[in-house]
Amino acid sequence: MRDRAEKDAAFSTFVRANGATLLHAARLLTGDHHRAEDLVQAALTKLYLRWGRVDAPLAYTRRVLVTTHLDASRRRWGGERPSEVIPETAVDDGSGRADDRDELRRLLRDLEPRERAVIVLRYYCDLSEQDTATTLRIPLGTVKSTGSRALAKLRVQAGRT
Amino acid sequence: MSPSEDELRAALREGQDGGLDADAVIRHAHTARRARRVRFATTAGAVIVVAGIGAGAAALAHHDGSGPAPAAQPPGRASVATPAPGHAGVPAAGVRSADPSQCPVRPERLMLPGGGGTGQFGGDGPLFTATVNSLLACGYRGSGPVRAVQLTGDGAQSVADGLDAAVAVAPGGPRCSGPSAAGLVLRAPGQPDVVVTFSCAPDSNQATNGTAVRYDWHVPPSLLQLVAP
Repeated sequence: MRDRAEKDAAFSTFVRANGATLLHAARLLTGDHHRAEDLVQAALTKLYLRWGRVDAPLAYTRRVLVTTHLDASRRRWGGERPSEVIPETAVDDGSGRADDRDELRRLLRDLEPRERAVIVLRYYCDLSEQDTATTLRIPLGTVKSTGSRALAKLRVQAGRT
Repeated sequence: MSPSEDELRAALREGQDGGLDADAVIRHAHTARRARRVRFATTAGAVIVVAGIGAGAAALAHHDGSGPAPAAQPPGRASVATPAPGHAGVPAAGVRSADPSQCPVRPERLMLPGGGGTGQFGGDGPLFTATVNSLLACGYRGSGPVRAVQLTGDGAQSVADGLDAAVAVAPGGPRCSGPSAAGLVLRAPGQPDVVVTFSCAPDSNQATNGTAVRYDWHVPPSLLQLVAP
């Protein structure tokens, strides 16, 4: 009973310290707040069930988060696809820089799931290319090529707006 | 707009707010764990029930004699026939072929107790005076080669018991007369050999160790094959 209380306390501390980051990463990955909450809940549940047996809880949760999302994306084939024609256009209300950021995050949703995962891990979670490759369990070269392709897409799309 | 990496970082970080309710996650994890355990227990229970039904059906089929045929025995192993009703002393298991060089060259000719008369003193005593854990059976048929099998464990004791359970008094009525060319020697360690001599039919025989005698022993098929032509 005491062990469980200690485990719950340690887990709560971890969630308080990293919950917001994980939730935001999930939001960037899914593009949807509710799906992001579900995704984080699933990842943290897996972490809780393995708590004490995981060496690096944050890295483990990130990996579960991304791989669960990619698996779900594969199952939802056709749910989201990049398109040449952007269905929604940003309304220019003159707020400048903030709109640019909104635009970037909107363009992020048009990337393929794995491209988005690389961008989120590299530029939001600040992981190195090697760590990104480890998290996604793909070769380093694939991370590099996927990342540069994703950035190129973002620049092309952003240049059009 | 052509975003730099810093702009991308800033864009991605914008809007990060709010934390998570750790207690809710823990409650959800406990629920998930319970559900997983229930699923596991249900699956395990189903497997046990199915296995139990399968085992029961197999046991019933075996009991009814409608089960699958037993697998072929490996080479070098004598076959053990299923005991026929009323046949005593049939070895259930533990029969294997043996080296005939351990057998006597020919069965010793033993005098029947009291000259072979019925009801002679000592004639109804046991042929095997101690527990039989191992029994060498040597079969003789005319001038043919000696054939031998080794019985061990329950199989050996079963043969000994069956032999001792045979009648100790020569049955009355017409009997075929004249010894056949077949003979059987049963050798248990530390005990006198039991010599079985056959008349005209396998079930018409007499067995003696020189002290006790038995008649018309139902010879188990696994031993009968030693004296078969």
